[in-house]
Amino acid sequence: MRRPHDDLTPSCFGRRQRAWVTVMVLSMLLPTLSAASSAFQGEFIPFPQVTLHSYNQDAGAAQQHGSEAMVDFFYTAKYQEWRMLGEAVVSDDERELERFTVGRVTPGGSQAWLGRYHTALGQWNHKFHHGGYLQTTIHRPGIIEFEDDGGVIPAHATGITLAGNQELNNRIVGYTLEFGLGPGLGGQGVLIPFNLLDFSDGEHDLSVTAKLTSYSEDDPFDDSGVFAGHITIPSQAANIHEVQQTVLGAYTNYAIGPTLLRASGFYVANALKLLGGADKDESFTYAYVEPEYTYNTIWTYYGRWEKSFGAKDDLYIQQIPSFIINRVLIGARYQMNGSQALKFELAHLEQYGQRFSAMEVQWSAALP
Amino acid sequence: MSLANSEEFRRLVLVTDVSSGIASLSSSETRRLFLGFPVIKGGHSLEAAINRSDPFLYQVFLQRVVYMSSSVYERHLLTNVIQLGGQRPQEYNDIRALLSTLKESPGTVSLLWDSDARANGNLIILGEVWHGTVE
Repeated sequence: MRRPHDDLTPSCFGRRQRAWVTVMVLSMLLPTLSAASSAFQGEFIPFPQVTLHSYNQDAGAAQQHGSEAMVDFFYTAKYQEWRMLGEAVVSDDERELERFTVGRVTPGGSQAWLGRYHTALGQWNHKFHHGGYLQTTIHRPGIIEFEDDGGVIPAHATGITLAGNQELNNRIVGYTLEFGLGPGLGGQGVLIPFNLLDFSDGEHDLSVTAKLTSYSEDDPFDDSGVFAGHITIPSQAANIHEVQQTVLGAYTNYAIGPTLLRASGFYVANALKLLGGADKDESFTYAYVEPEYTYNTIWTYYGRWEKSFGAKDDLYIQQIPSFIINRVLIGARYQMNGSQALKFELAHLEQYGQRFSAMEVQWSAALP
Repeated sequence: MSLANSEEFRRLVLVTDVSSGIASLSSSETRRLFLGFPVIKGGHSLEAAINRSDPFLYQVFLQRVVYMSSSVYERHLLTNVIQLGGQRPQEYNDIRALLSTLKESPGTVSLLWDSDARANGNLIILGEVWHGTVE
């Protein structure tokens, strides 16, 4: 369901290639530096994955059946209280620096970061990343998909992040505040985040997002949180000048024996400024529930029910046709030795103007 | 009832260097530390060092400290490092290298068999994680 990156034009390709060479050379040099100084510690972790899919949608054979290979290159370094982390994705149709931040983490857990980050909206952006190995399912919920996979709320922004935590009645309460440049809505039905390798790539405006989380000292995996954001999205879509987006939501994870229940709800209000001066206020809600049953150390069975209310009628949502409006899926994850996994997933989903079923198999890993 | 000759009574203990200035760690602090969450004690930000020099010791650690399988634990540590950056806890297959790190980096906490801990005068035992007989 990934679409070609629409800004990979010949005019900017040379500059992008040079930037990529710089990033890759730095990625190779940094582990050498880390070996040279014991105070400087780093980790380079490639997350490769290959996904085979078969859809019964009304489309050409090439779209119905196929495969996609992707590698998520993750690098992080630590020098005393200073940290750097970067994440770049290379696939058949995408080369993108997804995250690049430099920050300071104090022994008390206070954090300040500068760079391109995953926003605090929902729980997936902070718990998982672009590689598939760490998450149980093949796909993220539609509401929290990355921008170039049909995401309608920002997964990436570029600016400042402040975070910290406090012990309170046997619980750890954490906060995250983010101020940055959010995505713009491109003319081809996709949000375009701020590009660190090409500042002229699209228009961007202020994105303010925040999250409060809480987990038990005794069981850090039973956690809950609330989040909110206000994003100004400049638009190149026909007839829309700008979208003022407000996002409110909550999530929880609750374990009962071998069953983990992930659930989240979102309220998204889009105030559209149309070309010609008219305003249009719209909103929708989205919820998902994902039970995961760990049968043994090898097999995990899972399902997810995702449902939106009012999204089909939202003019902003109609500009992003690959957004998944509703989906039901079941699947199984097979854990292999050496940090590798196989996932098998069956889904029935609805995008704008079409419903179809999907069968997918994914191999993913964390190397070495 | 006497134990067979091949069986040996062992204690798995939590240790750090005396210079760390730490006297004890609760079981929830120990779990949080080895799960990669920040734990501060005696003014030190503690660092976990994973002892993988003995497969049995590592299995006891998984069952008694982090309560998860090896693959789930490794996935969890990866999840932590992609969020916060930095580094996963160092793993040691060589006990001499682990003892050297404990001595040179105050605030580093690890698990050792009681006999190994008592053979090193610079280590303080913070608590017992498990005891039993090993064949």
